[in-house]
Amino acid sequence: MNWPLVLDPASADATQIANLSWTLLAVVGVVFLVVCAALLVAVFGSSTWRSALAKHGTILVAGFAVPVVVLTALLAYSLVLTRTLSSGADVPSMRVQVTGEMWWWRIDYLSSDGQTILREANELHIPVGHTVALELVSADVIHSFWVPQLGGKKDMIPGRRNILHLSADTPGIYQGQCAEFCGGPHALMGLTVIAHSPVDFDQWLLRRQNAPQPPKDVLAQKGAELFLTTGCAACHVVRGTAANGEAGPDLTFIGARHKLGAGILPNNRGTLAGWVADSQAIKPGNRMPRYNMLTGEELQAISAYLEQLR
Amino acid sequence: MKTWGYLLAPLLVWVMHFGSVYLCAEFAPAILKAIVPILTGLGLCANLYFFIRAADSRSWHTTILRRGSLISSIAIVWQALPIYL
Amino acid sequence: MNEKHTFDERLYDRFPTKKPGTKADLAELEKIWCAPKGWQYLTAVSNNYIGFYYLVTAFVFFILAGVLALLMRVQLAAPAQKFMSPEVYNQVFTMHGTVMMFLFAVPAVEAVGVLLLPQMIGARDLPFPKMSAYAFWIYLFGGTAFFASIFIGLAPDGGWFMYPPLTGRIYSPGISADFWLLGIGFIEISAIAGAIEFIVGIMRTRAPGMTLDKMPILAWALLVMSVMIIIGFPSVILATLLLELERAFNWPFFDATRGGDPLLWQHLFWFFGHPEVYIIFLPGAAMLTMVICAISRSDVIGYPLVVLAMLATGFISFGVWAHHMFATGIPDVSVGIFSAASTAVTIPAGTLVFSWIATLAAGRPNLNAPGLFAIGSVVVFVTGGLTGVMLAFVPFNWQAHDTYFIVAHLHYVLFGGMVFPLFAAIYFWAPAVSRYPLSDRTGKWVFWLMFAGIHVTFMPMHFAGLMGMPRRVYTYLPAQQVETLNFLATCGAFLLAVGVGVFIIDVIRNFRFTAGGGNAGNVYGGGTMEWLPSGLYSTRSIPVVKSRQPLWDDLELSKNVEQGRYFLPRSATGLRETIMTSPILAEPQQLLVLPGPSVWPITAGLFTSGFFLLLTVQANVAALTSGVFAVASILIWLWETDRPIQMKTADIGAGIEVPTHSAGRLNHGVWATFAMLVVFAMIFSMAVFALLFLWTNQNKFWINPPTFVSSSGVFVLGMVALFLSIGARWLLLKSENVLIAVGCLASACVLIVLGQLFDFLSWRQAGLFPEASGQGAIVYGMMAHQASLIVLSVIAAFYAVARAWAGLVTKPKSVVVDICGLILAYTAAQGLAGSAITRMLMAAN
Repeated sequence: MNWPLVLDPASADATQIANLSWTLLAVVGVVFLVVCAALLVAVFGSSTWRSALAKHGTILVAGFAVPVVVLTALLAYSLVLTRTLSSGADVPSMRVQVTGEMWWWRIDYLSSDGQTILREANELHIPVGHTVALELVSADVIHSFWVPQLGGKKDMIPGRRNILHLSADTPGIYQGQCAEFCGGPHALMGLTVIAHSPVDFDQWLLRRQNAPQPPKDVLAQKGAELFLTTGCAACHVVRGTAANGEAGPDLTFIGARHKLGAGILPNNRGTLAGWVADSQAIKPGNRMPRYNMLTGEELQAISAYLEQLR
Repeated sequence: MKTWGYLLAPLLVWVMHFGSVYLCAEFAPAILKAIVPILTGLGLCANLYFFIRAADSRSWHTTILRRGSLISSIAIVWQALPIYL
Repeated sequence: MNEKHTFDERLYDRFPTKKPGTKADLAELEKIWCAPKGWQYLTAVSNNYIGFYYLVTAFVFFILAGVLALLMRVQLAAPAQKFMSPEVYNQVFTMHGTVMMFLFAVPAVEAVGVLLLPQMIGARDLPFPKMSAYAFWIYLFGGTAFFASIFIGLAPDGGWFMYPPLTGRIYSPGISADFWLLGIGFIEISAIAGAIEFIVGIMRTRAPGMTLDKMPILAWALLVMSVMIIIGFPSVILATLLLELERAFNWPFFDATRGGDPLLWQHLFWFFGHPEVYIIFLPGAAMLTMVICAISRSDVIGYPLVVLAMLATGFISFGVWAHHMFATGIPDVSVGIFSAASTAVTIPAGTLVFSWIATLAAGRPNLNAPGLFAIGSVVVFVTGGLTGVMLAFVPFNWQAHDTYFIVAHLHYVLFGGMVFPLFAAIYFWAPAVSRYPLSDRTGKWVFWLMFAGIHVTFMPMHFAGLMGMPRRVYTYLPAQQVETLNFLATCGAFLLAVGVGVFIIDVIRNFRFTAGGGNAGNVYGGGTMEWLPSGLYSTRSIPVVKSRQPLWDDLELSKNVEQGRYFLPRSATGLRETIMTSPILAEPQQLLVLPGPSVWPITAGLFTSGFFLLLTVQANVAALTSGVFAVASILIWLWETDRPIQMKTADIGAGIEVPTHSAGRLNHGVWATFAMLVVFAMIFSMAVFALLFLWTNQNKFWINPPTFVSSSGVFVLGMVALFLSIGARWLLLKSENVLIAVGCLASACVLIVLGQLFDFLSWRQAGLFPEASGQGAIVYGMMAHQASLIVLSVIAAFYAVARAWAGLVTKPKSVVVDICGLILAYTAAQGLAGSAITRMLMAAN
């Protein structure tokens, strides 16, 4: 078993929250022990001890005065921290719009004037040491954006645009998940955040703005054709091809993602084929129909095509 | 009625304080910072008054009034904290 | 004490009387309060029966919802299991939460109240026995039908919190969400009926001498709970009404694309939802207090502090609702305000805990089954309370919100604050309603199994939450590394279930219900009045109360009560009756005649349930027919309850004479009407909140309202109606002419209807339509609420006219005129306020 993610922070904000959590855990632990000790004394203690407990004054001190002092201190600590966290000390260096969709994430990297410069899905890339302003919106029902190691969660509510500042201290891969019940396979609405060094990030962003090379091997070429003819293209975009459906996740660089199906499966040729053939068995209720009428070869071709989109 | 006044007055102070601070934050946030000290001050004065009223008697409902004004005062001071911290 | 004395306290010295009550009087009491036979069990209204039915039903729902919990734990025992599809799992977790909250927890505490409260405060029954019966039957019929939806796969699946848009018509087509909205909507009627009953019962039917400071803690808790119910429940009634209107007629209250707001639902729901937790907890805490007193043989240490803690909890709990919404992006300042209030609400809880500890320390606590459950509850409740304090702090809440940490927290609180106290109460009070006590030895087994079960189930969930496991998930992945924790939790859940199973065996072996005499008696040595020897008529005579633990302080009390040496040793009128006393000093004011068995509460319950359930399946004509039958049943019940009594005054013992009838402020029906109007006023206030909320947040969809001048007719009609309905009472007093008074009421009713019509037309003329925008939806929604009150007013006016026709309206004072006048006056006033407020909110320029 791993260390709880909430207490294993990887950003400045999450570290501050982890510190608060530790403080709270410590205080609460001490109070719990004191109450249990008092209960034991009340039931089994000597009569002197018990008569000391059975006083009006004891109730006032232990049940009123002490909690007031402790809670005032904690409240002040937490209010100041709340203010620090939500006002955001650092000026964000980048805007990303994250749209909650039933049961995946649409991710738009924005220019400073709000134009989409890159559309991706289910995987958010950020530069280490920079603050990213996430603009959280929803396309259907309420979702909630949560990556425990990088900070607290924030809801994505239809009709609102909530801002969440996100940053990471060290390069790495951080798992997140939708935290507001959104029906159906809410449990399988995962998210991956990948933090790069600033240099790597810039390279990554440049690379992603161009469309991938057309497939070279025969199998993948056949897959590309099938992708356009069997219906995939009606819901998915692959830039540089005729596939321009907007309903589902953008698949331009699907082969480069760490996970499939919104953060739930490892990404390889086998899982790609399995997902295309019967995603309903893997993630029941998701919006993609079964393609189990495709033959084994056709599935292999499509997965070979998807895998080389990187 | 007076007995109920003893039992509930400080709590009603809390309710009115909470209600006005919340409604102000929700519907008129611009004047919040100016108005809260007045509200909290009024609330504290009311509670002080109740405390003094009840100070010379030891019956059960004046005990409630004294303790109630304490709880109410603490709670309204806490209520004002987030506006300035 | 500052209430004016209306009764010479020296008269109390006549008790206990020298002369005991006679055998013939006892025989008459037994005849009047006789046990039902065969089918009569369905028409019984006495609290001895209804309370028991209530408790059994609530417990059955506890078992059913518990089985659902076990199913969930099986599904979550290992990662990526396929035991249940997400479709089924979502229904199961929604039903688990909904049933536990609405069909178990609230009804269970109300059941304990119905069963024990009258005896505890020395009344023969609750003041409105037919209403308790009605409340029970709609709960039984409605609850059963609601639960059955899971067997046909139509159970709601949007969570017990039902957030739109997920529960709106687009994302939840079909009738499953309607089951929730209508089903729960009217089960709340049952809770509110119970609450009104408790308020009037506690304020007006306490035994003589039981001043407020001598009230048992449970009575205090039920009083605070009841007031919280009539303040808090209206909010969710409004919310369900609005969402149902949105689903059925496409009125966009919560649709952001048309000027609604999904957050409005969350405000309305949690304004009810968080006080709900304390509504459940306060009676639990009070049961705990009373059991602790009994097992440690000491009165509560710090009684005023406990009372204050309960009052303060009741108040502050209404200022914490948005701590369920810290992550929704509401402004920082609001977040802080709610964080502070959530912190404040823990102070009274701390006081309660230390007062329990002090009371335990004051005696030598007996570690029998109720004792173990009581001490165990303190430990479990404190654990849940402390994690609750952590959650009040916003940054931590941002991490822990909607994770398994919350699941752990809330189950600790509910087990420690309600379930364990209930088990303590069942072991403690079972001897009062059973021929044999439950087995103390088995009870200890039950305790240890459940106590261990709770910790094994819920302790690991804290860690699962911090590991990043959200709530309401039908499965999780191996990569999340929470399988060990979840497997442990599943084992714990079964351990808990075994504990409950052993308890059921104990009940089957030992529990033999007896409403009248022959119960096992005061096995655990309690000191309050429910332990006086009693029959179906409650106690043989009603004692003068001189302390909080009268049985401990007056060892002769039981004997004297049983010999009929106190108040009301016989039936003065030959009917069921109890003493009505003043609200603070509990001085005898009136003899209250109570109704006996009747078939109408059950038919009314049946047809009310029919109305709502038929609406759910959109059989509108059948629903309406059923509704008409429900109203007819209620009217017949009112008619037969409101019978003229020939005797003007009656001897309630030792030659003390009190009136048998009252009108105006003294009348218990007027009190109940006031409480009911508070419910309507709260629904109205929440609607005004919704109006302001949409106006500030979605102003761009707003149009300018009709001007006051153009709709002056609405206001003139309303004012006249208001004056007429208030004036009816006064005119009756002055002129002693029934025709004039009832005529006033009838014409007020007509004017109110006309005013509403004008209001409606003027909005249509201004170009506002309900489907068009949030403004349209809420304005017409408020009119719909007003229309439902108008229906009530029409029925009230019709009833008043019919009573006058039958020559049953008394003069110069009449309860019928008082109550109908109140209802009409309120309706007129609400109409005026609604029309005015909606016309004051302008569109942005």
